[in-house]
Amino acid sequence: MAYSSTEVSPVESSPKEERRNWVELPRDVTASILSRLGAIEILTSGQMVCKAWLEICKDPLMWRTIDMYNLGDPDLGLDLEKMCRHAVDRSCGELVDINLEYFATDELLQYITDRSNQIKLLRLACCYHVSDEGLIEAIGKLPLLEELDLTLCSFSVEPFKALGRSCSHLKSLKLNCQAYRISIEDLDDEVEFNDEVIAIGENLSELRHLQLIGNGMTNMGLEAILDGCPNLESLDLRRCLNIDLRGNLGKRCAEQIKHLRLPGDSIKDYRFVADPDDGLLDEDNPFCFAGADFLLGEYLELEDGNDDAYDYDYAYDDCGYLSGIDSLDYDDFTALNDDDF
Amino acid sequence: MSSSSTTTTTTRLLMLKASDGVTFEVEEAVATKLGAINNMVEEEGSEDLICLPNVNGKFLGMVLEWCKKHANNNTNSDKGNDEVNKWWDKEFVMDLDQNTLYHLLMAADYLSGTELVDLLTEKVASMIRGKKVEEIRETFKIKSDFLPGQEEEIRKKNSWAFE
Repeated sequence: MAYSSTEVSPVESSPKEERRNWVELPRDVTASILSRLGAIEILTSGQMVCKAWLEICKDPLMWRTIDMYNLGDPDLGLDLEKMCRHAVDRSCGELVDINLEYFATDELLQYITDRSNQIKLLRLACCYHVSDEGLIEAIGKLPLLEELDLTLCSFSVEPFKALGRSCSHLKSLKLNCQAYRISIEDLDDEVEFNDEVIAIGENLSELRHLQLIGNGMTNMGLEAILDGCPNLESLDLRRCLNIDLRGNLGKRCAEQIKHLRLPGDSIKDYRFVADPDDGLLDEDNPFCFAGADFLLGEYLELEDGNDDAYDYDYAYDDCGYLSGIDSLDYDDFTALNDDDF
Repeated sequence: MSSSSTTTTTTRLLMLKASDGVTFEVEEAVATKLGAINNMVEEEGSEDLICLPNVNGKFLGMVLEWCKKHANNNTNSDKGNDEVNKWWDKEFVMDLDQNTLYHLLMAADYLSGTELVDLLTEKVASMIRGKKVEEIRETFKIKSDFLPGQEEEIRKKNSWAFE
């Protein structure tokens, strides 16, 4: 059946197929749809569908966020760096939020920060090719930075000092890594395992949110954070296997931090490697931090009972002391769990 | 015993009239989840009947169903509301056919139902993800309107494979 496009009246009562025309959606709506695709799909497919979509994809405002979401797959066959430079060019300095996971280099960071001084959010997960110097140089050019994600990167403590100097607006830091256990002998050099978090405590006192999944710190480091970052609202300690939260430090965490995630909490909403190579269970290791033991019990329970719609507020209830249940003493609860294992 | 009860709260009811004459009686707290209605209520004050000539009854009904669900969930207990809303949203968009999705999106946008627009645009985006240009055109019945040669040129400019 032939129809004329002038007859199209989008919100009229008719289930007929020909009454809809996706190209005629309001511009803002189409822009919202396309921006959800992420930079890679916009550049490889979305923008090439028709003239109207191409036009929208040329708008600098479409590139305020450049999400180069990828899985670090070398077989992807796309020159992500080239795509990213192109996306940055299109943003015309409007860039606010950029995700460079897996592929950032010093040169790319320089290219981006030379052209964008509005960046508030920089994500560098798994960027093994960025050096201390490259990151520090970039940090110096991002005075508005509010959130930095350094998941699975390996930097020294120097960038934290640079953040303290240059980024007074920094509110959120992610410094996740793969968990590991340290042995009794390691405790001779305890500072070594805590140097990162000590540097955070010393330089980033304005932090509100800190995610430290898998961090090797001991109680020494945790104390440095609680002392150095008095404004912390959320602290994510999942898979921090070398801290012991049974004593006063656990109570202090619960009192000081509004949203606390514990070493044994579920990591289902986290998409990188967090569990140690030898698994989470550590039956052979005689030196087992009690905190990890106790929280492990909770972890296993949660894994059974909860699906991906996991709310960590409930975890507080499960472990008693955080939810303020008086009848259940924290140490009793720990003993109970120790028996189970 | 006092006649006043904490369970009965006086809620103003609004009458919404769709383009095809269908009317809906809705609590003000529900309808004002839609920015457009909220503006009208604030501007016109006492008007209880609101005419919406750009939305028909079927889609207005669906938009209001969504508003009602979210308004109810938000007044219930505070814990887990986000999860309930998320679950319900998932169900809401799961089986939408393309025609309904399109008109619902137009209606939600017209009524400034920001959260609902977000939900529906995400649904559309999920239907685009992973598809090649031709497949997207096929899915949404979009004809390429590039001039001959123009598309080839754009593809050349946007070739991202390693050289």
